[in-house]
Amino acid sequence: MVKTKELVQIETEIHAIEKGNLACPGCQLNLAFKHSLAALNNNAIVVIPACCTSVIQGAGKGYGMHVPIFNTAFASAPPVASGIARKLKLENKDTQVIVWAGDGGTSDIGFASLSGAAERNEDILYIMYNNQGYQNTGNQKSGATPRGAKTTTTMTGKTSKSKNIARILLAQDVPYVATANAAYPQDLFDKISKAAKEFKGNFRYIEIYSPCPPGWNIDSRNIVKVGKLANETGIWPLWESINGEVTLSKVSRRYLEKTNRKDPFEFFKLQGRFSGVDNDLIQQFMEDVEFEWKWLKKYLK
Amino acid sequence: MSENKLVEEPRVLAGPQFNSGNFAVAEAALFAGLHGYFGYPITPSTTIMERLASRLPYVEKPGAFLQAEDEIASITAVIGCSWTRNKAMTATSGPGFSLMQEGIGLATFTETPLVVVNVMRGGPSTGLPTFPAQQELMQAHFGSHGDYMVPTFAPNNVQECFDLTIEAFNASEALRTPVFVLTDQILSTLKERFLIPKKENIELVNRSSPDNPHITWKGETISSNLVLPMNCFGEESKAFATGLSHDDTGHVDLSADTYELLMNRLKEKILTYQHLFPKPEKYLIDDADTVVVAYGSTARSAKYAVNSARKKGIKAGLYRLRTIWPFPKDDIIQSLRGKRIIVVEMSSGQLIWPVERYLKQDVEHIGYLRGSVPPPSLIRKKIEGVN
Repeated sequence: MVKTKELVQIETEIHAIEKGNLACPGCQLNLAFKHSLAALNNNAIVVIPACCTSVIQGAGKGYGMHVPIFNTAFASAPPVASGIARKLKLENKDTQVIVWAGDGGTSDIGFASLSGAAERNEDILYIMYNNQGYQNTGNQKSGATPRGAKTTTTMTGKTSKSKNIARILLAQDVPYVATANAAYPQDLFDKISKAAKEFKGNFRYIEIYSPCPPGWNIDSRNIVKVGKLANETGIWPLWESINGEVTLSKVSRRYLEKTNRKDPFEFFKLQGRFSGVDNDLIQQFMEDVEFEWKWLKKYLK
Repeated sequence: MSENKLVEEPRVLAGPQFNSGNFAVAEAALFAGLHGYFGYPITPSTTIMERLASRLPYVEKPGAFLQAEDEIASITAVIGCSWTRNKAMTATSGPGFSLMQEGIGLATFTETPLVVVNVMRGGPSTGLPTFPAQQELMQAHFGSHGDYMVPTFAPNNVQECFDLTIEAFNASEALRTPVFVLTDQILSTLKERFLIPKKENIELVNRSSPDNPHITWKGETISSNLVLPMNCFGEESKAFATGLSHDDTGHVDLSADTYELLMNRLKEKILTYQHLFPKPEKYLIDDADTVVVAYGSTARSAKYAVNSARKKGIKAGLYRLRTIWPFPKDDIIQSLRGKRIIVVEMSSGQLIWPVERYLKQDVEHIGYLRGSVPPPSLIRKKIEGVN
């Protein structure tokens, strides 16, 4: 894993995200974007569908990154990236083609085109930052919203289980699939680097857990804490799959044992989106978490 | 659904209200007997969905609320719901309206009653998501492939957002057709006083069925030869719906005669009853030399300009369309031919097409593309002939 000191040095040199950014205070996707671009050494072409990033990428004239960016229509980021990647492949360029999309654009409206690009094994690194809802339009539920979370369209808490896109893409035999968390930048940096360097030429998928202060109703100062708690309570385990072989990431390894996990209450109490939600629903959400672990254990070596 | 919150609320909040156009649309839909809302978040229409998410499942005779995975799913879910003899709708904005086009074509061809509210914002593509425009007038008519016409209504204040949404439901049920309500970003957030009448004071129409083929709307009997009684799913009769060319029983028939008959009937049923659609507002046009033609929130500014021109002694008037499609061509010819016409719209030129085509005369134009309604001073200067 990259040393914290090294990471800080790399990020200070690269300046992946400059001034003039419209992110909310405490925004985790913005940090995740910074770490990702640093890991790519700014050698990337980024395709962004409608999502928070297409708004916060720059205020007024210009934008705050050093990579070319194409803002595309909601359902169409993977095909646009495919078009770019095909051409780069012909020219043997080492530039990475990145899709940087939110969870709505990935799990809902963009899912068909994502699945298509994965099937064709396009030379794309698809990164989904998961803030578990349509936060740009004011917190509506998405396919990735967890059960129990309140949104403006699930007023009493979402009643259905969230869609696990990483698992779906494993079923499509994508060579590199990983989950990450904006609260663990070293782990995130490593995964992006690995996907970019070792799996170039293939379709790759990384999903980053990105808590959203206004949407999840969290005090900005607690935002990293919530991200860390998601890992420590076992709610968001970090893992990666290389050619179908699943391994738990270092930071999540000890939470394989249920007794090592923190009380999920710690996680829930910091977030307004779970307050006042029916206990049964919260219980079901914890069962969903167990279900994911059961699945993970089955595949772990 | 968690049971603890299911407190039954009244469906109709009769009485004076002070709220936004999107609020009025949502409440009007509930008033009209909405049973299924299927949508996808998109600014500036989202608050219609949010309002219905908090109301539709909890009112008396609750309906189904569903957030779909995209607009293609929304419109087609609305079609599915409508075929169970329930009133259904969706609301969207520019990019979403584009995605819905194939479903809209399917709805016209399968004669599915439904309502689509399009809260217009600046386009094309993502354009100006939080600013108003009027660039979907042509798309409302020609957006999907094939020949068809969808009745399209355009309110210009919050009360009309309420009234015309109910009219839209009635028209869709009476004529078995999709109906559009074109509002815009200004109307979506503008708050005004409006009145929700008592339930018994407004006529609500329900579609015909094989058992009850004769329905009336505004005192007029709807011909069951033009609008066929609808067999719905879940009823005793066998229902069949297809996007292929079909005969009157709904079964596939690709023959030339059947296709021609069907296409003519679909057009005829809208044109025959267009006199029942919302009438244009004619403001001071009788003695006017110059008439401004506009619709939606643009007409609010135009009216102000007309009033200021009148104060200066210029004989100006306003012709405000409330039904855009089918275009009220006879009325516009009768009222406006020979006068000096200024078409004002938040588009580089869409409303001007039918106006020019039917009046067959030179028409002046303000195509305002600055993400707001054209200021009254601009329209007044045009009326005065200053610029």
